[in-house]
Amino acid sequence: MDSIVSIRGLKKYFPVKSEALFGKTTWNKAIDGIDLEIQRGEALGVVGESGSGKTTLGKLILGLHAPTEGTIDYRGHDTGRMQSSVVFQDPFSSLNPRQTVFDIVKEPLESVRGTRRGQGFRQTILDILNLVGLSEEQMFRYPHEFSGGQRQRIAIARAIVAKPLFIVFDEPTSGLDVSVQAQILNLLKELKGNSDLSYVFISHNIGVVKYICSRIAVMYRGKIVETSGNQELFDNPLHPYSQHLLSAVPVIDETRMSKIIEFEAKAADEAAVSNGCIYYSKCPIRRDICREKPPQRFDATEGHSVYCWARELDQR
Amino acid sequence: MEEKLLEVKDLSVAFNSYLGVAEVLDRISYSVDENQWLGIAGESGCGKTVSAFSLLKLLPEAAMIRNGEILFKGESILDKSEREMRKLRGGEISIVFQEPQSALNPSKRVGENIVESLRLHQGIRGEEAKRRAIQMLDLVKIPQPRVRFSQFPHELSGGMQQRVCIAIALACHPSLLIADEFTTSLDVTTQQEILKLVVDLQRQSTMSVLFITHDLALISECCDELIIMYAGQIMERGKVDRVFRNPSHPYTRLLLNAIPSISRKDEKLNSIDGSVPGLVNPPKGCRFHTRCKQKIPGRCDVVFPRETAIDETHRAWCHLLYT
Repeated sequence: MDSIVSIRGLKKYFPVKSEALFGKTTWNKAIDGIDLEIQRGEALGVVGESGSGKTTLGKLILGLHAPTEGTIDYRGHDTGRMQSSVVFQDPFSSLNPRQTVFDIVKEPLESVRGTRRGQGFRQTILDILNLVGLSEEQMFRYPHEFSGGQRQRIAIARAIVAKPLFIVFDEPTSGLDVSVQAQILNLLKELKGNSDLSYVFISHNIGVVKYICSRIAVMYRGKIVETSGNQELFDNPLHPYSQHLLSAVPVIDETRMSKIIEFEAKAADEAAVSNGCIYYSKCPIRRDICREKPPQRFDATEGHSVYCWARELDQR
Repeated sequence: MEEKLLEVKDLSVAFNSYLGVAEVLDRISYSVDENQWLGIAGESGCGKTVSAFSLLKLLPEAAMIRNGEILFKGESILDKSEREMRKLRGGEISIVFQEPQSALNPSKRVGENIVESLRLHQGIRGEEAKRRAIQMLDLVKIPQPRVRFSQFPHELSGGMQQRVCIAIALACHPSLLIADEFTTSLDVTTQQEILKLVVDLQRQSTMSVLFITHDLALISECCDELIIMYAGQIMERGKVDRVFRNPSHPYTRLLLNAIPSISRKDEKLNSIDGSVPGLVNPPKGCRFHTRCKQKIPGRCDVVFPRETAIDETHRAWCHLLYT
């Protein structure tokens, strides 16, 4: 397959200063060793709890953070297309309140084509606005005149206008109501279609990721613990954390409060966290080796890999 | 017929705003039985939280109660004085909010946050209050309750803080717990733990829960009955399994099909065109008519439909259901 972003051994540590005057600085390991490929034309979902490093990963991919260690290789600049763009969660703070919709959407075009003459873009911008469901008379209005859902449409128009290779969506529908969220999700699905545009879709809402994405990566404490094709992950989750996470997602159904897999809270084992598997202290299927060596990537089936010693040893 | 714990009759609430008067609640009526979980669901701005806050008379000054009455154990809440309300709040009726960080007093230790409510409502002080507070922390499954007792709220994680809020709310054995989006700011796994905790605690006592949320799936997991609200009006109410199996209002049907769920296969989501209307000069008649594809011109946009019984407890308010 044709990958457009290739991530190797990526780490991002943030310093946490001690409150004492000459206290020792500790490190918050937001991303702690990630290997990942983003394929051309795929919609990759990244799920995980808050603090698992989803957003940091998105920012690293966009080049908004410099990695502490590891590399991110981008391919396909030679096509003359814009590399990447982004849609953030909050459409109230991600649009410049003093620019009209026209100016907001024009900016990426100018930066790609290196020209400052706006009027030539008028038709391009109009087409894009129509595509995301906005009309011509809304073109010269300001963001405050729009509702949350419409603002997110403007942000999406800005993201797609210069035909990027991939777009990072960071919780794009979390601030929206269910009925409006469905409009935006359907729009994103339509825009993607069968084009070679790739999505990196970050969300804590697993239902949303399942609807949009073709492949899903599950993150836990700065690491990817499992990657799998969309339906495969729900039919056959392999990592115990993925199983726990999926079991906790509420579903409309009449058998109530019966699904959650309860784990005994075990005391955190810091030695295991630094040497072995990050999930060791909570893991119901842990082995001795999990405490000493970090799990390696294990391909259970084609396109479904998991970082878990127990699964690997079971299948040997 | 057994007496209802709570009855809300024809309640209308309006807010003064700089745009004009917003009609936030439009003649809503519902009741809560003893030992019942009632879910109130709806999108933002539909009046879920306002209807809960009016039960405690916690509405801001701009709010005006236009019409209606609220009876709690047969007594009218709207006629009570502020002093009487203070006894009721946190005693007979308690509330758990969405954000535990802002619900706890950050300058007081966790234990003092709980002891305060015991002292005010039950006059328990000193060692006895401390013992009870630790007992409550243990009840909500906080590990090492003695250590946590003397820590400050910021030293606890969001899930642990919400457990403390639940401990405070339950300390005086309320008969009604209002849970206002109380798991929304938590991760799914923590959300499930907290929800299970409250379900277990409710089963051990005689307490009703009014669960306000935008997440229909959560309601399906724990409530007995639910109310679907839209823009300050009640659209449908009934037993959870009946409503989900046989949604009778067009809005409920659209809403259920708009939720991306992990149990769905790859079918297209049903989006509802437009967005929730502003409540200053709201649409006349049924407020959903501006987004409803099945609206009957001349009726839906003129009068609010009357109640239609689908079965014993299942009710819907829609012109399509009768001719």
